[in-house]
Amino acid sequence: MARDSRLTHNTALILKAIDSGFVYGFSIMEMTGLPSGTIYPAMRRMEEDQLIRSRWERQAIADREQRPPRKYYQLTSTGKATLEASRKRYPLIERMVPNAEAKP
Amino acid sequence: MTISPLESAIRRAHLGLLWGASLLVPGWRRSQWSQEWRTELWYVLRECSCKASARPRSIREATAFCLGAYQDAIWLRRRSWQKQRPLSRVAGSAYVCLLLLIGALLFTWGIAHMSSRVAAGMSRIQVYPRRVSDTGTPCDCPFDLAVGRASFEAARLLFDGFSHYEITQETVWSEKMPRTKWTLAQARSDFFDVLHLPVLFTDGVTRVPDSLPHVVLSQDTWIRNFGRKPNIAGAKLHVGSVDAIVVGVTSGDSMGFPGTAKAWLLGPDPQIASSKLEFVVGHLSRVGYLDDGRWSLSVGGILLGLLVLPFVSRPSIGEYGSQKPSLARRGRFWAFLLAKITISSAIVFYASVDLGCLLVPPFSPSSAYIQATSSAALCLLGLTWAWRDQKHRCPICLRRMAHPVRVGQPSRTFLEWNGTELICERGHILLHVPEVPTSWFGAQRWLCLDGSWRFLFARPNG
Repeated sequence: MARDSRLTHNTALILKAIDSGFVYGFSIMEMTGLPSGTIYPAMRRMEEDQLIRSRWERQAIADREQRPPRKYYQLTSTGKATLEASRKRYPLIERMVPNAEAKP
Repeated sequence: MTISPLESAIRRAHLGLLWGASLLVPGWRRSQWSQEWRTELWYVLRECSCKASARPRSIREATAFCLGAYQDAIWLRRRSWQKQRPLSRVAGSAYVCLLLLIGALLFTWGIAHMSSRVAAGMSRIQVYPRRVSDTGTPCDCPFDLAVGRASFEAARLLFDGFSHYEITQETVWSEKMPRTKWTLAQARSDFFDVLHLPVLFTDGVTRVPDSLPHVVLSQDTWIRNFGRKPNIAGAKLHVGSVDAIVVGVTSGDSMGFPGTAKAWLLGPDPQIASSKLEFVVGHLSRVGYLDDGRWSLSVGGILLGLLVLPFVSRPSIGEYGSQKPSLARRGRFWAFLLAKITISSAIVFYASVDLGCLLVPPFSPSSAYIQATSSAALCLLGLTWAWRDQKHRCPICLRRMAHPVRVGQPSRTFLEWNGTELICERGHILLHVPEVPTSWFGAQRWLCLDGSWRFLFARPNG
């Protein structure tokens, strides 16, 4: 269960972006338009609050595509519930974040 | 793909920025943190390289990205400190607020009492003992009469007794003591009583006739001329042309009076003679700066601040939505505000005394002005703070509202909601503060959260 969840506008935006398929830091940054100095601390806080969880991509996959492995984020069940709650509070976010065209 | 030396240098500079930021990250997380940021930088640079047409802009973007790493690193460092300091979790609570205020009150009170004593001491040095007349003519004083008078007037409330004495030279003898020239201090018979100075070895005083002048020996004279005789009271002395009776010996407190008299001849009020030195002495009461009536200056300033407050700060905590906190909760909310105002006023009182006492010489006219004006200004500041702080406190748990989020901009969302939203960390209430007050949303508005929000704010232990 989340502890002291900070359901701010940025939190809701990031949750929505991850839910829409933007699942690594840089893509979330691009999607939301928020600077890196906002995005990464926010995601660490959300991870501490168990709204999202992260996992590193397997090295073999990254090697095959000749790039460094990415750190992927996904919503937890609490995160999904929080996103649902945030829709009431920030209804415009639905329109701000489209679904990712291609999920990795 | 080949990389030019310039690009390589820029890349190294970016990696250097990340390395610098990594130093701020707690050691146990540094490795993974660096890996994540270097990976992300790789993707950022790849994206930038695709925008070859706007290279300087791309470099700026990559640099901005790297600079963001510092914010992340600082956040992690702060988080680490917060975990080490569990008290930071209670920082916004009402109890901590009151405790801090009480701490500030005790601090200012302590300073005020210390400075009060210091001021009294300084006043003693300034005013007592002071030579009033050198030649017998009051106007012909060796110090500035106006300053001296002002000093006396300013400090008069501190004194609970004034007396004076004059220095004379007389021949003194007795049956057991040959004629000797003594320097005598001639004073009123109540001199020692008025100045609260003890007289020692007065066992035989009841037998002393009141009609004769009394003599109080200095300790030095008692030792040299009377061999520390304990039953000295009642001894007869011839002082010039009169007979006098020894009634005791001065205590150590009487030493240091100007004139270095060998004895005190107490009788009727001595007349000022042009050839004699006269000194005025005052006894400082044990009260200090705080007790001399100057409290009214601070109280007046505080009242003035209270009167002006409605003109500088809007005394409203906003409107509630459809749901209102219970009457008891609202009562607690206002009681908390009252407590803050009370303690703040007390802090202002003592702080203004501190300023009036420490910034300028105490008891000077400017100290009174400083005390009065600073109390009004500080009161205004303190009450404005108390009110603003209250406006951002959850009416239910009294904690500070947290996580401000700016929503919308008046220039972009015309007629739409714009302003700042804050939320109670315990999930009790939302606060909407309009950025530009309008006729339909002029004051801040509270929105009590219903039960459906509670699961978000539940604590691990329930």
